[in-house]
Amino acid sequence: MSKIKIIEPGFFSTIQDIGRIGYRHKGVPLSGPMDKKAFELAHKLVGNDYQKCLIETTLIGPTLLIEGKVKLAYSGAPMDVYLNEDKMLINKPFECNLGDIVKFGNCISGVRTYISFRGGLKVSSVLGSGSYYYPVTKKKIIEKGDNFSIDSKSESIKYDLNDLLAKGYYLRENLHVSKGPDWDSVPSDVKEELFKKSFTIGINDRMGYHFLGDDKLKNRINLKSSAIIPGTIQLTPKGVLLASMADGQVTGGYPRALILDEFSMSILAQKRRGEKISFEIS
Amino acid sequence: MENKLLFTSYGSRGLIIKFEKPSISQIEILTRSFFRDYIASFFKNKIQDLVLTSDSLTIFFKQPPNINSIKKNLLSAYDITLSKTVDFEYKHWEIPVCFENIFSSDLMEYFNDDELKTQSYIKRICELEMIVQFFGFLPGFCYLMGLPKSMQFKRKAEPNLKVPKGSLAIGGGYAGIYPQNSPGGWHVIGITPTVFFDPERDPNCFASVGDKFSFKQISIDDYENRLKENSKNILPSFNICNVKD
Repeated sequence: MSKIKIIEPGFFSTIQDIGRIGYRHKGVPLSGPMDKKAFELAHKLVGNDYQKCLIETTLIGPTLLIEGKVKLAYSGAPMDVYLNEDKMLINKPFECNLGDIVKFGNCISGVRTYISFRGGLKVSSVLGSGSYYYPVTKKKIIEKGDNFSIDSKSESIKYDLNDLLAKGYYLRENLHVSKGPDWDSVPSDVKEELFKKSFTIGINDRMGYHFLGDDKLKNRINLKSSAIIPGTIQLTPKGVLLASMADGQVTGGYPRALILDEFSMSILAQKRRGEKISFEIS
Repeated sequence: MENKLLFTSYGSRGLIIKFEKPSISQIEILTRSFFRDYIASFFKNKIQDLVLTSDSLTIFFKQPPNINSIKKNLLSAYDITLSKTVDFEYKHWEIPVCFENIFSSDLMEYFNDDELKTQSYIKRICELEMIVQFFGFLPGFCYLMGLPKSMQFKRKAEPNLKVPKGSLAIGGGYAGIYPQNSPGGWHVIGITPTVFFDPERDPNCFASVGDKFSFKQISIDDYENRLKENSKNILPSFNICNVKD
């Protein structure tokens, strides 16, 4: 059976599949990929279904030792990738053989790159998913020396690969949103303010993104805690906007003002602190 | 008993059912939990998740649902729920908690190191019966209601960066136990060796919505011994009760 060994793990690399479905009532977040579009494309390129596990990298990619015959591809944020001495291109699957070294470098732009392997990585499933989410899973990130077998026997799926992600799909500043369930509780002057200007991205991780607001967004909306799905943008009393992402908490107490559409979530997952975003309601 | 439900869409696949009021009694919580289970079995494979909170039940469907046709089903399901004879069973758990000073620093701080007030608070919390209203925040984190006004603390303005696993804490009208190390803005008053969420254990989370919790004071030695015993596989002791009793 083919395997890969992690020589260098990169900055913050995790295993992701489609996510942990059906445990939110006990407080367990969905997890899964941050940039779903890039995740799906990476899987398509090697003929995998979306249930399979792949590697999601953050800013700096891993270095892999290939043990056996492996077909792989990467999508999402572009980076310099070398198979031994040869440069490999984004969204172009390539074959590797026993002893090959694949080195994923630094992101050129964007944040998250998805590395898929024909057949998918074998990862022990916890509550129905291989997605890393500590401490539900024992591991938080992949580490130097980790080994993964590849399920190369699984059947390859033929996809229509016409709808590749356009180069720089995540560079767009405006994010498409719809009204969240608590929209009506947001005062009208605050509502207007949300679409007037752009916001700077603050701290962010797999749980969520902060957008820095100002005094004009301050409010005194007081609600009971309620369910939150990834993509929801909550408005805090101090006027900060919180976009919940893949590992976001299942409940929250701030008004759920807006909901990002799926493609906008993918775009956001490729944004860095200090970059600007704005909202466009659809 | 209430009978009004408000429906709000949440994205393309979510439907929020808002109850008229937040649940205030154990029977109300158990009724809503029964309603949730009934919906889960009614829609079976069409549902991804059902999240109950104090005043809402959010259904996440696998595919965008036809809300109008579903509303009828939900309203009749709710009528059935309300007409159910009130004979719900629940578990009453006894959670061992160590209240030694090193684990209850927030409590001492709150009472300005007044030992008497601190001890009186601990005594009172051990006499309470608290009820699991819903889960959220972290895997296995239960929101426990039943804290008298005089025992409630406002949440901290600045959260602690690391609240240790097992911490029993007070936030507003709720008590809760941190199932893992985490940042948190609640006031820590003690610590339990009981493991609240373990994906390898069956059930991974022993508590259910509507269950009752009592706290039993244990010594620091007892706490440490139970931790060493690998208490993750040991459930706290419980009684099965019926709300009729």
